[in-house]
Amino acid sequence: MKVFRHSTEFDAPWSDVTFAIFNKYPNPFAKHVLQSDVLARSVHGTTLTTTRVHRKSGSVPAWAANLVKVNPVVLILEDSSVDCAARRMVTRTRNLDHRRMLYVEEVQEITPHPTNPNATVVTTTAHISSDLGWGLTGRLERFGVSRFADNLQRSRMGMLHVLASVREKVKAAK
Amino acid sequence: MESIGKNCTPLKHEYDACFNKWYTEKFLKGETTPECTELFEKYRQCVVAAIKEQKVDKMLSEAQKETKFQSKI
Repeated sequence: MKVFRHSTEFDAPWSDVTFAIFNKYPNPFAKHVLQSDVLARSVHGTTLTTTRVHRKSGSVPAWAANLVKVNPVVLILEDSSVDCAARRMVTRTRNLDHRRMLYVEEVQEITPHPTNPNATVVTTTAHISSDLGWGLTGRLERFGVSRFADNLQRSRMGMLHVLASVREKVKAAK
Repeated sequence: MESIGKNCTPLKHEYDACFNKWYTEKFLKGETTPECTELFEKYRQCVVAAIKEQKVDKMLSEAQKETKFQSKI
């Protein structure tokens, strides 16, 4: 198993960033996300809990494509909680199928920047593991980590795009 | 963005619009009483039917029951 940790900041208030996460798709950097739905949603106290499912077209490394008959579509489950009083959002995302080949569990914590009220910090931790065997675990996990890093970059571009359109809507509403 | 069930997409868009308004105008300001519940129920039932039809209902319900995770929150 490999663990990937990353921290980034957005020049936008926490409320905008959490809204953007709920409205992340579609965006031009997420063409691989085909469908998305809310499965469950509830409020307890000041916390909003949401479960979403996303269907994404996946990528299989060329060298593995011959070994495994893979349907290149993956279902992803995303659980999130937003505490509007504590100003804290946490998301946990994991793939539901193709787990033997690669299981990725990603947790994100979204909080206001400690000193800048107009900025937001997002820390990401991912656990990436493969159970396919055949001596491929290391190679698949390294592929998983490198793809995760690429996806995180693309995800940031997507968030920036959504945040910009949120800002436009807010400007127009004034 | 499309729904998993093609015919659920209009319901999804209607619900999403309602949620977005509630989220920004009420929830983020501390008014936590849920809204859009009827719309959500209509949308959710459509999605549940699509999930059954696509035969991914078992996989989804089992995943939703998972409690063992690698990462501690």
